[in-house]
Amino acid sequence: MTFAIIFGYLSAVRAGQFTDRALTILALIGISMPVFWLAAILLYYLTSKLQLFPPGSYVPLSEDPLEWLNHLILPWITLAVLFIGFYSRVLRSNMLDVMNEDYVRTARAKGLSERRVRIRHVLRNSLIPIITLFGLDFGAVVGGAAILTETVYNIPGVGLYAGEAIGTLDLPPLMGVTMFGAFFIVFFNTIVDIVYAYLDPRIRLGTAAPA
Amino acid sequence: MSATAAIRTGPLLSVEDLRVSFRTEDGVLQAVDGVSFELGSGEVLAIVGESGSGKSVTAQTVMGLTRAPNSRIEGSVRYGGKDLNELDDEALRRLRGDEIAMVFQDPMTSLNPVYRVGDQIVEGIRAHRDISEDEAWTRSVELLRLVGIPNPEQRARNYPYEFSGGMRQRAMIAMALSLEPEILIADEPSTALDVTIQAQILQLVEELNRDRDLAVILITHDLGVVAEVADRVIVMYAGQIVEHGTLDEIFYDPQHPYTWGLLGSLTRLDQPRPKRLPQISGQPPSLLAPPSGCRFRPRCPHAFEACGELPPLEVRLGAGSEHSDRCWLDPAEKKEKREVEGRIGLEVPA
Repeated sequence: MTFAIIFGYLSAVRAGQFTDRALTILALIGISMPVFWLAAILLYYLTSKLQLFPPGSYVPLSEDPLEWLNHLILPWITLAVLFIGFYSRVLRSNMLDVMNEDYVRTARAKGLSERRVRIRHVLRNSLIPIITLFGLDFGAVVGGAAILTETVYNIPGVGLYAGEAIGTLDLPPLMGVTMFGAFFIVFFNTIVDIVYAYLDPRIRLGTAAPA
Repeated sequence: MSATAAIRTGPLLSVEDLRVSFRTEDGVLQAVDGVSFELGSGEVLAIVGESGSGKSVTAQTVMGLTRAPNSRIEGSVRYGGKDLNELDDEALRRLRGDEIAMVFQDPMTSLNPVYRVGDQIVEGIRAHRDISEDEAWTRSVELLRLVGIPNPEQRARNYPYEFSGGMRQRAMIAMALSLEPEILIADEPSTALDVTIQAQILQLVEELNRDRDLAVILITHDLGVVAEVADRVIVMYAGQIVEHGTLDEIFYDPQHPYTWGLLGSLTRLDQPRPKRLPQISGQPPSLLAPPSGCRFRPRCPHAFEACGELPPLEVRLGAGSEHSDRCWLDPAEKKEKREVEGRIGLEVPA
């Protein structure tokens, strides 16, 4: 998420220049890369060849926090690559839109530094759509959409559980997983709404807003 | 209109042969083409012209707001011994808001919706002055009071969406005044507001001009607004100045047919109502490929052979006058031709 914001910001600020093009290509590669393929490649090179990370499986956080972290780094990277690419593209286009807003011109006319204009006035207004997407995606990932990643890395997660249930045509667990996913999507949506109100005061309820 | 004395002490701002063009997908667009003028301290200079005549681009270029990878700016904008077109971004940033401030056309979109009005003023103050948040806040409350916002202590805590259009424009003016600039550039400050609010905003601008000796560049297409507050008037057409004179000269002795057309299209309450409002027929020219010769020629009913060549902007009324225009017609001829149904106009409405 952090990387996505940094990349999107850079990309928008340097729109049309080399940095922007390079980041665009990277982002597109990230979006297009099949998760199972990326996961397999990472596993092969970083664990079998370089032995940087332990191969697959999972160590519970309660047993050994360090090992837990060590085992999860690769799956995290795998998942993040897709989202970084996607979010940085969305952020870039949002920022370019917002830069043409009148209030950005006002901010410049006040004599604010370009950096301040971009961060306070452009970035903040561009984050709102990103937050929406993030809420939905995060809910989905927690609720089992990481099925491919979990399968490749052999992590006993919700996705893997659902995958096995599908394999054996076991319906009750599937219904459970669906409910579970639905719950998280709704839950993160609520959180997103709260963050919205923080980012954009127009969304705050309570006092009636004059038109 | 107290400025005549001040003008003589030398101009505060002087713009010389300013040219601004933008590269677009359709070709190079020459938005401003050789504009020169001076602004004395305490003076109100109005720039009038229809949409696309280059008046806003001229004003934004003074502030350096048209700097972009696809724009090209030539000529000079001299202020306080410096050429603003040659300043680097940081030096220009220091000037913006502090010495030259700007109010934009649409107050609905010119304030950032996600910050409190007070904070937006504070932000401008603190970008230039090293004072505490609290001091700046107190100052912005005072400013809001000055521009006539009732209950400023509470209002400063409001977000822009809680303000009406007129209040937002007042807030914009408060923001522009926050650092006591020498020059206020008001780009159609009253266009997006309804008429009663327009009058209030203009009155405010006029008061500030009078009480603080603030020099104002007022950009508008509304000659009624000009008549209220301006000392001098520049009429722009297709990126060029076509006429430049004092308020009285422009209103009572206009030299350029385009100015006649603008004046003719005003409705007058003191005269019988015309059957149809007079207008200037035709379309403003494309700035991608401006007409050769006089730019107003294709729309001008008085055009003749000489108009194939672009008339320079010069004084044609004899020595002693500073009233300049871009029209080949002889001043005596103009006097005759601009009479339409007993008032100044371009042609008899169809």
